[in-house]
Amino acid sequence: MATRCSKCGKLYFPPRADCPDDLLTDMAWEELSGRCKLLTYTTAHFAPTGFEDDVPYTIALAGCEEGVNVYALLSKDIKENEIHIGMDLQLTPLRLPNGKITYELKKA
Amino acid sequence: MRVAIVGVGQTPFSRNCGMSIRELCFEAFKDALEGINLTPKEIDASIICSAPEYDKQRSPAGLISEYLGLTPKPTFYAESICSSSSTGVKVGYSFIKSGLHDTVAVIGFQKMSEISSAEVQERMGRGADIQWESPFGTMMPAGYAMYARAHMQKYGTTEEQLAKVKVKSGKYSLLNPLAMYRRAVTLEECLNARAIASPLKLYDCCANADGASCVIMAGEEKAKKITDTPVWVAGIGAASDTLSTTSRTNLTCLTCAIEAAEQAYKMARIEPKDVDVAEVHDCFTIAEIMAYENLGFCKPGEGGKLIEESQTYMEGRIPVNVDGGLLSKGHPIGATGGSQIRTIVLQLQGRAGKTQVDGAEVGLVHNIGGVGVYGNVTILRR
Repeated sequence: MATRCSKCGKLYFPPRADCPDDLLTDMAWEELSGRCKLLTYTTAHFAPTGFEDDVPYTIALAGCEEGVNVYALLSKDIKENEIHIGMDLQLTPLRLPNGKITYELKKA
Repeated sequence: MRVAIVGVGQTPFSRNCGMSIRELCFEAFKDALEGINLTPKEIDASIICSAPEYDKQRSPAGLISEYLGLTPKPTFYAESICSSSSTGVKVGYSFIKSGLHDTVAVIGFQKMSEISSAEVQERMGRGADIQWESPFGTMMPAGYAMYARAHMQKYGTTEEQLAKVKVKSGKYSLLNPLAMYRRAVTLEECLNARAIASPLKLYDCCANADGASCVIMAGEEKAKKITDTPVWVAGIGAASDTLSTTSRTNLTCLTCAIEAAEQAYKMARIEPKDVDVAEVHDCFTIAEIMAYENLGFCKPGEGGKLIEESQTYMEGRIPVNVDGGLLSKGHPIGATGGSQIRTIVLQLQGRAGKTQVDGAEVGLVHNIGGVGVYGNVTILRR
């Protein structure tokens, strides 16, 4: 879900409460289609504390069709040789084993 | 009234300094005062610079200032992650130029050995957008790796070209007794090293380190009494870019570096070609390649070609990081900027020994905080 400023109409993702252009706190929620393309990525082979069990994991930046960008992990379903800049991805909600909700990028 | 750097000092950078931050700072401070006509009591203000949460001391300015015997002079803490001490120098310049203070000491330090490498990356991961990016396990190498991947995609930059930056660094590390890693490396070693965050491998990354640096600045009249070889601050530029990766408009250059450089060149009334020797922020090999482009030493996308042609070696068109750079010196975050400035000051004073660039008159320091969040460029002149 993204936020759109009720005054200037600018779309923000990740969502935020305040519009700095208008100095206004009046946003409407808007659902994104989730369709995006890979802009760049990296596969982490070394992890900061707390992420050791997840290595290797691929962090990606993707450009959504609405014009905003998203930073998330590539789904483990995607094989390393399938990854290429410009590939179609789908931003998908994900429930972690600990019950927390996040999102990941799956093959479109 | 011009502003000068009258003294520079630093400790050796090491994996484990075996002392506390106060002793580390004292060593750099004492080194900066060596051989110049200035006593600590004459310093009007100090600026203490580092990244927080690596050692346990909160609000280190008061502690360091006390240990260096600077109490009751005004002091405070300045931070812009890896460019903290360059920011300190900018503030010091402003104090002197405005007439508020006449002589200022900028002390940068970092002690990273009290925590593990994984813990260090946890801190660095929280230097990213903590709500939307840190939870995905990001860390400094990953941030720059994403830029490397995009740069390679857009310009055809190769892993070999990245590795050549480290090969240069290794060569010059042998001539820098203060560097943490003093070892030549071959292209093969670099290419076969283990992956950290693809495409960056072990030797593409700088290492965490302990160290401190000190830059002493003074107004023109006072500077001439302190030393016969003051080095003048000719240009200062600073800019920022978004902390979040999602808001970045460009993934193949650091816009904060481009803007900071433009400001500094304008203030110093010079062009990139007028720079005789430079220190750039080579936290990762890709960072040095982007620095060549962002500073105007070559066109965008041609950074790989510049290192391939050896143009940034001492014999080349523009010597860059002939002290080994962060890749060999190590990167004690808060101390790095001051160390880069020290290298350029020594070059302009003719005191750089075996790595002396003949006739160096104009030097440039490019010091970046985070993955291009804070850009700081300082131009110095003999």
